[in-house]
Amino acid sequence: MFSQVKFYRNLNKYRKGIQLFSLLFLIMVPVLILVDIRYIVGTLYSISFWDLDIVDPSMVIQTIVLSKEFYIPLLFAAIIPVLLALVFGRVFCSWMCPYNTLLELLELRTIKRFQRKIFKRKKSKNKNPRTLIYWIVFAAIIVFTFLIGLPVFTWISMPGIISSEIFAIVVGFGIGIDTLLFGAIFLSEVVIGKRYWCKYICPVGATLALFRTKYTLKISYDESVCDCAAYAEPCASNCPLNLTPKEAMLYPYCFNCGRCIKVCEQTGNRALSFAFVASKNK
Amino acid sequence: MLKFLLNFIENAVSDEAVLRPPGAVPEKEFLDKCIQCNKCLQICPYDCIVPAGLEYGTSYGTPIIIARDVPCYLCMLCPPVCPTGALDNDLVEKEKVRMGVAEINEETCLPFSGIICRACFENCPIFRKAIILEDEMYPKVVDEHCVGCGICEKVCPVEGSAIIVKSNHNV
Repeated sequence: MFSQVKFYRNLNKYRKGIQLFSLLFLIMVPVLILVDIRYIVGTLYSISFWDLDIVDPSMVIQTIVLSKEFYIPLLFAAIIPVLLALVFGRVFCSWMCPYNTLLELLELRTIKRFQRKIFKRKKSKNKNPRTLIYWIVFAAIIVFTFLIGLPVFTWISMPGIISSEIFAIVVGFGIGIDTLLFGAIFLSEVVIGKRYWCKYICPVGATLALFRTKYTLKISYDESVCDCAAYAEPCASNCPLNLTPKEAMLYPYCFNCGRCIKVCEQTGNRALSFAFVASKNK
Repeated sequence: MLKFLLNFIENAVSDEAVLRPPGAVPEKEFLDKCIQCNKCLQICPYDCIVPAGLEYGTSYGTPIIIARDVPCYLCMLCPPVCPTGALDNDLVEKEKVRMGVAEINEETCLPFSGIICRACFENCPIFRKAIILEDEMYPKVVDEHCVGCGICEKVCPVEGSAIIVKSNHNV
């Protein structure tokens, strides 16, 4: 029988499992190619399972912006990720994206302590930034791509870079300049520690955030049972993106990882939950 | 300003057209459409498609073929896997591929200096059509049949190859 309590308690475990599986899958694809099994080919820019094509929707936007034409098979290939985003929100980011998986390693306690020591970072109160910022940055990247006429999305798509570099390293093409870019951005995240890439810049996540309706999976907050707010906010302090799930304007920033729900469940208050229709309090 | 700078860099690093995988649309359109998903590299059973290095400037990471290393054997597996149409998905006949045209350097080509060699003629996949023998001796490329696969460039015994495929991919 499906138990909601058990599901929320184990939410993080399921997520970690899927993250690990996705990372291993990205290593498995080039390894299979090395032994000449070529049924699953591709990277996170675009991947084929036998005849089924799946394309990152942000790559569709880039191709349309650059080539100024609509290639029908390309639009069809984006259906699966778009449907996933329509129903569950940006779960690709939180449950699959290898960049997020790697960044979550930074949250290990020793690394956090190290960061605090070295960079003298203070714990600041979480705040939900204005929605407009997100869309302005995304629009700026699209306009920039259009103006210089080069595949900027391809160059800065972290999941794509990581997956194609895994391929290049396994097959033996060696380390490319993309890896250096990835390393530089990753290091800057270590220094700044605000998850700015996923939160503001990443065009892959922004494209997925476009497909958001009233009925997309969201974090629902029930104020009447929220009890621990006065002295601590475990939901906010566990948010990887430094958001506060209790306040408005959580979206498009939130990528539905469910960590706030898990800790809320552990406090026993159960004020936060996943819902397709927002509760009245929000 | 930025565009000017990029053009400048591009002109500085790459002045020669590269061999693209079979079915590639014209270069400008190709660069607009290629998302560098590496599917064509991965499906190629001969591993002949490689990512372009930094010396190719802004087309860094896009698929190219270096014929002298591994030429294209025209298995025609890569055109259908391209998700964005940078490679023509409907291309199945190898005779219709136009990657480039081979050019013979008559100064180094062995038959022109009296040594019998039929390496390119015998290995050409468009047999007796793209490379013909004049006087049963001198190879000659027929431009309208040559697909530009580069097999002749690979098999040529002359150091540095006496027959080199010139990409027609800068149009």
